Parts: sequence; structure tokens; C-alpha cells
Amino acid sequence: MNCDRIEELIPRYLDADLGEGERRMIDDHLASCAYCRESLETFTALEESLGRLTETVPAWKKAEARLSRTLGFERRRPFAALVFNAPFIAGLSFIALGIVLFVNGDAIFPALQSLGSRLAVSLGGLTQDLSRLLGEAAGLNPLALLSVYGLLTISLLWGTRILVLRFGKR
Amino acid sequence: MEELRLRDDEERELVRGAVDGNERAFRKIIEKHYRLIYSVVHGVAGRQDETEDIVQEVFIKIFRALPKFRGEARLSTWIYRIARNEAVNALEKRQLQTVPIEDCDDLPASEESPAATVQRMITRERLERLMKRLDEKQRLAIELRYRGEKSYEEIADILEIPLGTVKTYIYRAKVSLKRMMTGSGANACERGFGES
Repeated sequence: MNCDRIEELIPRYLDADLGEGERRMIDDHLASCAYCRESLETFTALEESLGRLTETVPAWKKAEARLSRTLGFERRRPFAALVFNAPFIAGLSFIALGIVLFVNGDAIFPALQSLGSRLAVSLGGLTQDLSRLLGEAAGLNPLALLSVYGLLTISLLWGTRILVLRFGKR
Repeated sequence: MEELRLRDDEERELVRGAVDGNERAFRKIIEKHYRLIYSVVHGVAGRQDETEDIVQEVFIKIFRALPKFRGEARLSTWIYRIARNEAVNALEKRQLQTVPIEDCDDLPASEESPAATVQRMITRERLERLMKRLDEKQRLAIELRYRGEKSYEEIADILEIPLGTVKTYIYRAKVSLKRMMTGSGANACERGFGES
């Protein structure tokens, strides 16, 4: 048996994973080969080093402390998911706005229309178009105003929710 | 919840408890598999700082996925898969390499005897670096055996491979590590790659 083959068998030899015949053959070879005896020492040292890898695992207590914080967030997730749920909040906002418009619509629509006109004068261009739309929506079509308001609310809340769930973990 | 097919009564109770919201049961599951998770993630990530963060991500993944666990595989196998996948995904997200390409700078001075060289060279950092050069299967087997403190039989169960294959991975990994450390054998550096 040559030294390369012996080298491949030494890990099994150290692990007592060889048959009697192979074991005796290696014993005989080691008795007469200094190179393979060095190999045996090297594998023994390697085994010791590998055995110390277990010390590199951080203590469970440390990991558990982080786990507790993680679980704390996970427990809050259902609440966060509800609070930052866009359709839920948008629905509430619609109802609130509806109530306000129902009670105070006569005062609010002219005020919005006036705001739209003032913006149009001061900013011009694109803002003029936007404010005209706002003014028209406010003055002529409450449903259009509600839709714009709803879309803006949903976008804002949905964005917030994504940010909170994405970066609020740690 | 559907009936779990787990054979281990204690594990079945723990999983059922954790799914029902029992935090102690969940902690017990994680504690029992902590070394497995850590060693697998380390085997993929190869860096302690990254490993600790990814291990936490694995905990969350397990927490969220546990209600879907049906017991078709052993709990340890299921957790192993989650840990490995999560580690691979996390590294992709962070754009880190699982196995950095390094030059063969670990070869010893030729006049030094191999045993003396190994005594000098087997610092933990060097061993860790050389382990990264192992084939992934060999590396994970070594990680589970030594960092994870698993027996050959447990590793065979976790990886769902024959016991003999586990031993082969580990013995070959040791031969590769020894050759990389001492520079012995033809093309010792290259042998560390993809030998299986």
C-alpha cells in the first residue's frame, strides 16, 4: 500500500472505522514509514483543531436574547398589519371625510375652489391645471375629490406599511 | 391543524404547541436545533458576523413557516433546509460569495516538516479559511459534525443521505484540509475544490 493510500485511510484509522486487516496493514506501514507517521500526527492535530470549532458557536443565551426581541416584533406584527393596512385606514378616512362633507360641505367646497384659483394664479403652468382640476373636483364632483383623496391616502399608508414591516424588524 | 406525521412524540407536542402560539415551545424547538442552524448557516456564509444575523433570519423564517410544517420530513431535516436556503438567499441579497477565491498562499516553507507546519498553521482563522475551499457537501458535513456536534447518524438523518456517504464526505474533507495545510500531495490547493 503506498503512502497516498495510507494518507486517505488515516482519518478512518483514527476513527476506528477500519476492518482488522486494513488496520494491521496501516500499523505495519507506520512502523516503517516516517512520512506517514508525520501524516498521522498531522491528522491528529487537525482533529483537535476541528474539535475546538464547537467553541466558536455563540452561547444560546446570547442568541436567545436576540430571539426574544425578534419574537416581540413578530407578536406586534398582527397589530402593525392592522394599523398600517391601507384599505382599512382608507375606509375609515372615507367615512370621516363623508361625515365632514355632509355636515360642512357648503363651506368647504367654495373654500377649496378659492384655494385652487389662488394656486393657479401664483404658480401657473402645471399647477394651474392641477388646481383647476382640484377646483372642478371640489366644486362640481365630490366623488372625484373623494377618489383622489382615497388614492393618495392608500398610497401613503401602503408605503408606510412597507417601510415599517421592512425596516422595523431589528 | 392537520395531524403531524412526526415520529418523535416530544417534537410533535412542541411543534403543535408552537403553532398554537406557545412561545416556550417555539423557543425549545429553536434551542434544540440551535447548533444545527448555526453550523449550516456558517457552512454557507463562512463568516461569523454574517452568520449571527442570518441565524436570526432563520429563526423568523421557522416561526412563520412552522404552521405549514406537516412532518413529511424530520423536523431537523426541515430546519436544515430552511437554514441552508435562507443562508444562500441572504448571501445573494448581500452579494457575498460563499467561497471566496483565494490564492494558494497557505503552502508551507518546503524545509519545514508537515507536522511542525500544521502545529504552526492550524490557527482557527486559517482552518476556517481552508474549510471555505472545501466542496459544499463536505463543508456542511464537517460543520454539522464539529460545530454542530452531530453524530454521523444524525447527519445522515438531517441530510437524508446514507451513513457511508456522510463518512466519506468527512474523511475526504479531512484529507483535503490536511493536504491544503501541508502542501502535500499533487496540486494540494486544487484538491480542496470539488473533491467528492
